[in-house]
Amino acid sequence: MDDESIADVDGLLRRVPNWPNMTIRCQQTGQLRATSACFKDRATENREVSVTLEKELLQANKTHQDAAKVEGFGLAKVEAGFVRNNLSQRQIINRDPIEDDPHHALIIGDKTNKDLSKISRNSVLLIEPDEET
Amino acid sequence: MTALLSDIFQVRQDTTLFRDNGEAYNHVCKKVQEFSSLEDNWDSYDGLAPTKAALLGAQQLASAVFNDDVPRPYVFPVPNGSVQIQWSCRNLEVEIEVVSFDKIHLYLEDLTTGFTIEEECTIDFSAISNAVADLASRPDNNSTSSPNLTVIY
Repeated sequence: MDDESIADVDGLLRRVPNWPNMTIRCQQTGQLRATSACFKDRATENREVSVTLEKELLQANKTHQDAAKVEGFGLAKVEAGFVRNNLSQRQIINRDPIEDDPHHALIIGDKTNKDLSKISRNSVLLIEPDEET
Repeated sequence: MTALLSDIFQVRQDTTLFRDNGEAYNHVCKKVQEFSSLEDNWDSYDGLAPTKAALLGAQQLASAVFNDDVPRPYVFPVPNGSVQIQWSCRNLEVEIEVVSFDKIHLYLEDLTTGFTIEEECTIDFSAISNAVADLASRPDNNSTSSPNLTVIY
């Protein structure tokens, strides 16, 4: 069941490594964005993608930098409503608190590479990853 | 017409294991070399380090289908152990995810026409050859290829 308490306008945050640097300059906007590879999953063929719930993070008096977690990492944001309603298959979003991220959630549903490209192109880079060292 | 990557590659192997096919190819080789030192959890989401099959496959693909006209790609590890070669330029979005030499995913979107291709290539790699050839043949209308090096098309 989709967690409807996570509003469509709520931000879903995903860390963006700086080594290797996982950003690409978008030809349409001229801005850096997280590559689609950033939104791929280790083992579930992208069926479950981990994110942090922005609203809850900020309500807990934590910052975007806290969500980036690793020194030098960046942070990308995509709105819940976009992933629910604009991919080839409807996605559900569920809270899934874990020990090192109490605001952790999962985007659950089959995702094609086209879907992941769409997520990438509709994401915003809140924190740019540091330069590679 | 079916284009087997192994056939293309076999021709290239006549002279050297990996033929230098220009700057884009060299960039892939450089990134592959870098990624070979990655360890699991490199992305903090428990991502797998790129597999040897993916690293070698990316290099083989670049050797087989790249030429001097191919713009320098972005190259990324993927948390499932594969390697992604990507372009966002010339009104194309192209993503090639190399699982191994004989298993490659292609996603292409032409931003001008909205035409898309999404294909898993295991035997017939003509879609990949065509995508790269299309990319190479287009005029460079902006400068959104991978940073750090100056590219002259």
